[in-house]
Amino acid sequence: MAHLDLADIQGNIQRPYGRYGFPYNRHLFFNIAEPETGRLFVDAIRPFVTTAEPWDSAVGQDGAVLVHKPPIALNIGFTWAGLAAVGLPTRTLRLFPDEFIDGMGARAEILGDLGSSAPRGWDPIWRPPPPGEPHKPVHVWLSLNAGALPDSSPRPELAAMTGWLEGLVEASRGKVTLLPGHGPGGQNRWQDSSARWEEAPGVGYVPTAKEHFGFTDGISDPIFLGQYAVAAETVAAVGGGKIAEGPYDPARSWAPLETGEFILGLPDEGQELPVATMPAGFVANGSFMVWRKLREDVEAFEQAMKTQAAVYGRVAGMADETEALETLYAKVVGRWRSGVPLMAAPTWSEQTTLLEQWSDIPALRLKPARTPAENARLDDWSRLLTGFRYGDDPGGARCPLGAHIRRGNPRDMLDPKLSATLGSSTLTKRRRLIRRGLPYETDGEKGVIFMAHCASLFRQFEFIQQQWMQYGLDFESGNDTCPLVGSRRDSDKFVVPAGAANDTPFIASGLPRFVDTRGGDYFFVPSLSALRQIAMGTVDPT
Amino acid sequence: VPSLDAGHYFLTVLAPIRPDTQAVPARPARGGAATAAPMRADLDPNAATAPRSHRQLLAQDLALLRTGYQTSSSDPEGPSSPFAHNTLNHLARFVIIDGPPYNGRIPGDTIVDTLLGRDPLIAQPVDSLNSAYLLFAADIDARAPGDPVAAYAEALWSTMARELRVVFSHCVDFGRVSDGASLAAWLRRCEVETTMPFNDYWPDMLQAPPAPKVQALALLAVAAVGTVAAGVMVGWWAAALVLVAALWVAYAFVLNRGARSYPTAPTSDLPSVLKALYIKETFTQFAIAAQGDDEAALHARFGDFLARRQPGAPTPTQAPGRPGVT
Repeated sequence: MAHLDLADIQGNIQRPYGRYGFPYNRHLFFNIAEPETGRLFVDAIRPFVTTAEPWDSAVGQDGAVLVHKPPIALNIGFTWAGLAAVGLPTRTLRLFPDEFIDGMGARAEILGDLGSSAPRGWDPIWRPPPPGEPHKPVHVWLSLNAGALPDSSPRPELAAMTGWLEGLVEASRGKVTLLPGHGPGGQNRWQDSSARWEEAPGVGYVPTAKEHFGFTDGISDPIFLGQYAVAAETVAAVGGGKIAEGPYDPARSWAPLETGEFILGLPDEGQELPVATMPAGFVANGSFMVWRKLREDVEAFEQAMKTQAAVYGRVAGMADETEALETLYAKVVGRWRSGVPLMAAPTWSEQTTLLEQWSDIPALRLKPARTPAENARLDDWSRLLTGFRYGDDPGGARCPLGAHIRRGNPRDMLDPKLSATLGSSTLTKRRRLIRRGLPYETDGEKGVIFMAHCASLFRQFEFIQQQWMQYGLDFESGNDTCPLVGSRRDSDKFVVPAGAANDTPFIASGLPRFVDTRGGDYFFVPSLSALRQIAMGTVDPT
Repeated sequence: VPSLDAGHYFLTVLAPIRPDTQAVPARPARGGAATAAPMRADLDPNAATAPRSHRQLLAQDLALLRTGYQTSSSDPEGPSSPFAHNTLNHLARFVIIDGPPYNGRIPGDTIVDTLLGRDPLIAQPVDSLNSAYLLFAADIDARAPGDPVAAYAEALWSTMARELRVVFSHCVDFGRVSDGASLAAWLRRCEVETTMPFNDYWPDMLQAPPAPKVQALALLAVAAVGTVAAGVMVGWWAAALVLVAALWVAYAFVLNRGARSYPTAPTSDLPSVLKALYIKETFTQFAIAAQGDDEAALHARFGDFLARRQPGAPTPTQAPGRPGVT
């Protein structure tokens, strides 16, 4: 097992905070007008950055707990312009990968951010100002993750820490700006996001993992070597890791991905050190991060699904309207809205039966102290949700070839030797993303704040976005894009292959665009050591 | 003929680019400020005409040549490539070749070089071409009897003579080309053999006829018997002679089979390919519209599809160089 310096790695890379009792996430963006003041700003924040260390378990020599779970998890990242603004040396700046230097807006054509998703329509913070006004681009991203009070409102520390940051900005005498410009009119000073809540009888409000279309989100994330302790790693690797060459065996084929796929400075799946920049000591334990605000057009989605389901029900021979609609939802994503994958339950009735068999899971999750048997049952549930492959479904009869989760993570389906017994993830394991993020609902607009960590924005995020979400060749789908998040410029259809041979497939057509980009950028999330170097102004590229 | 394969001719032309310069009017291409204030002849003696190499001008003319609707960023409403005005070429491309790529010194072994007394400080020769070349490569249909290049040259001359003059007049000896026949002769002069054509119109492979296998086995048997017989009756040198002769015959046999062109794949000419794409797209539209139809409605809709789209007839079809059904 790899030993990582978890105290040097920022915590948002290692943990989905939403699942660790932080259902609130506030994103603040800053501009730095002067390197010295910028470095002082970083230095002031540096001590409070949340690391990847386990909470409440590490104990010092005197027996005291070393790292307590904080009320607020704070993390920080820099755009390329931001690293230039704090005065990094030219050599360090110029050796960064092209796409990071470009920034997300300049990559719109590659990412499919066209038409209604084009940068000219993004929230004002991501656009150049009207002529005559000074341009203050985004330099620093700061994220505050907070817990909730029993009534589901955010803990007061969130407002207090925001106030503290405003104080730092004030002390900078105009050299550091908290950039407003969130929301359609640019009226908001920061971007809030939070889990959607559900009232559980006898418990009160509980955060859910649902996004606004009603799907359970963030189920299958990749796991890397050293991310968890050994026992947890073994469980999480099934479905989250890579699939080895050779006969497929669910118990033995899965292994964690190399750390260097997500964290810089460590070997990756290509048996190389990821390329980022110089010096190595500045790069190590850092990561690149995608930040995207994605608006979900819930009304258009529900309307389109309803219209399509009416035809789909006739074609697929489903008399029940709910069954046709829910099955179509599942075919679009590859999972039922409950999160159960089509690969585990291909039909509505199988899903219903399965949920009944596992009806104890929600209560088990909320239980503060669990028995080993209960933990084992949760592990089994986790394996059921993520531990599948596509060698059992080469034609997409269960999970359509163009479904969202098959595009985002094709697992073994691109293996030329794919069969009922063989199938490895050799061709796909270098294109994984650690996804973070929570839904937002502000100014009558719904969506998700999408964040993703990777070692190469180009090889991982941009490839998945361009080749897999916005194009269909790898999925035998021609120009068809992802039915959920795709652009519709070159195709507006989605094929649902039939179950049995000679059954009639269903082709959804005339689909509108459901998800639009409202803004975002690429960030470098430095290690604690790199933050120290930035603050001290001692990044030495030689 | 390797250039001719499976009913397609793979034309590769390497035309030397003229080494002289051409005086071109020193006028900015897009007007603007320079037109308002022309350069004075006393400030620049080349103010009226600027000398430019043909290589420079060719690169500029190629940059201005329209391409097909190849990517999603091509203008779907804009004019298409002049090569879309004929229905013979599947692909056509121009490339300027300035010289062979330089890979640096040929590496050696330090110990071997020392033993042989080679001085690593002595520069090795660097390869170059005698001039820059324009590569013109086209994959064209060759089903009609007669010379495929002649037919192609006629088609090009009648549809894009102006563009051909713009491009090829920067090449040596193009000035005398005045019609399809002289264009064909000029292309033939500059042609090189295409030794590795790529043809993927046999997706399921062609079943090799069994005859060569039998012939090869028979040949092998004759060679073996001959070798043994010569060895027994005459001597070892005769056996060696027969063996060498047999190996040479086998080698010639293989080369001869390899040089034969692959048979023509059915419906692999451009009009058929365009029609297939047209049917693929219109059938998808039909399949979408027919979803949920009862049998009578489906029957009527399919009848309408056959009548409108005419799968067995050459028209209606998709226009070359421009995907999509109009």
